[in-house]
Amino acid sequence: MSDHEFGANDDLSLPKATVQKIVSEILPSSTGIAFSKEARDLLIECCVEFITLISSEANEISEKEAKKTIACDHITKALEQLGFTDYVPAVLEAAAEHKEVQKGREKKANKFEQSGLSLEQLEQLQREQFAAAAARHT
Amino acid sequence: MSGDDGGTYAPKSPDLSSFYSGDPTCQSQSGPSQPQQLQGPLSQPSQSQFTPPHLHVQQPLSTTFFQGPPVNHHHPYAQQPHQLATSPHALTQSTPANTPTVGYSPHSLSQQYLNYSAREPPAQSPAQTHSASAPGYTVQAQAPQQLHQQQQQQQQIQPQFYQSYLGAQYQQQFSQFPIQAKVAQAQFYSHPAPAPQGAQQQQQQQQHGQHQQVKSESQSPSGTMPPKRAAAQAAQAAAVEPSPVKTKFPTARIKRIMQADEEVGKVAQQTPIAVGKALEMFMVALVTKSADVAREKNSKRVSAQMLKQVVETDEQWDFLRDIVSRVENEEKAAKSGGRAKAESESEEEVPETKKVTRAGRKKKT
Repeated sequence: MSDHEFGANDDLSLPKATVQKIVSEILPSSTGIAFSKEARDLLIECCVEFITLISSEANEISEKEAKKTIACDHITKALEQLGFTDYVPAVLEAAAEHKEVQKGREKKANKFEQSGLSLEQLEQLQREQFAAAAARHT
Repeated sequence: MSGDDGGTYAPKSPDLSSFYSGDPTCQSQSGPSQPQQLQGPLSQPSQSQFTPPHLHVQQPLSTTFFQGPPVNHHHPYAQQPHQLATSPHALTQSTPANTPTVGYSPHSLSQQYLNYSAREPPAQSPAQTHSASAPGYTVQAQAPQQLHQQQQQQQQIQPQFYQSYLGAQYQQQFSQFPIQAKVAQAQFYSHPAPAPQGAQQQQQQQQHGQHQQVKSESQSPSGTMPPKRAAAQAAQAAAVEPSPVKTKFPTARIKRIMQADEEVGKVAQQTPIAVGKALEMFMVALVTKSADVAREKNSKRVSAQMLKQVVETDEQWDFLRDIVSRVENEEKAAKSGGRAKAESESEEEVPETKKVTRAGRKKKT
């Protein structure tokens, strides 16, 4: 993990600014209701507790399945067991979405597909470049 | 999905074919892998204590199998739902990835009961009987509890694929043992006869399908549909209302919080994203509810008090009570009667509560 380079102080909490931003997205100013700072801090604590709860439950599930890695479906199972069944569809959707994004990234990284040229064309291009380089040296 | 899932899963894959085929002849191939699982439930203490009279019937399962007349067994069968209901582990953790044929886990009691009630006589080997009947039973027992909440949702999500093969299985089971089928049905649904099977099967399949769907990422159902596509489809089919929240939590942070628990080992790449999404919904619920409380109190500001009130009114949040009560207690200590003033939440109160909250946080970390 590359996390150690950051200060360990705020390590096990969530960034306040992000939380505040999300809160104000949930409660836009049009609702006329603001979230006090102490409520936000308490909310952060609750969030951390929630993560801990889910992950320890998911960890238990994954251990029972003799898995070493906590996968997405362990999370959904944990959510179900903890009474958050209604979160599951959205979580699955988010995970699927992420998977798609991930795929897209991989494809972009593939220069061969990106180039839009056939193998023959690329070989041709390579030969030309070799020839050009050789010509420069002679 | 991480690579590990596939890796661990692969060696045991022979089970799958029988699971999805629903064909008894195919199930024989999964026979060899069954015996260890058969032993599991027998040694489970909770089971033996709760139906002592039938113990002798359970033991034969792994050896001689089927001594008493099957009709007797509807008794333990009837009790089973409680067992299942009280131990969700038996259902959900059931690791279809390892043994989908058995459906619901080595410790799942259902396998045994179904053998007695809904399967053919001892002509077949125990393992065979086992594999076909287990999923059916579990689903059935579980249906009454969860059906109502989840059915609508499942109807959308349910891949057709499961319905077809499961349907085949149930038909088989019920027709082979009509009497037992009736008993089972009467107990769970108070339907008169095998006639309504169709409807029930659908319900059961939906139940079953739900588990399948949730886990489908880690399994690889043989046959027509590759698992990933199934999962993706299921997720897309589910009507998820758009969240107002656009900001995403930093996944690295979530991962770090998850791994702060020493027990937690490796975490798949997608996991923090899933957790982040769940966390987002969790926040939406908590924030909207506390905003409602604020509105009720004619306050424009959501205070820690109100958040606490929300947490305390719903059992779903009971894991937060410790945190919330700590704030409260310290506040009480700081100034007596602070709680009574909650109604007239004013600006001057803010700094004090803030201090307290901070103290609480320090303690925690």
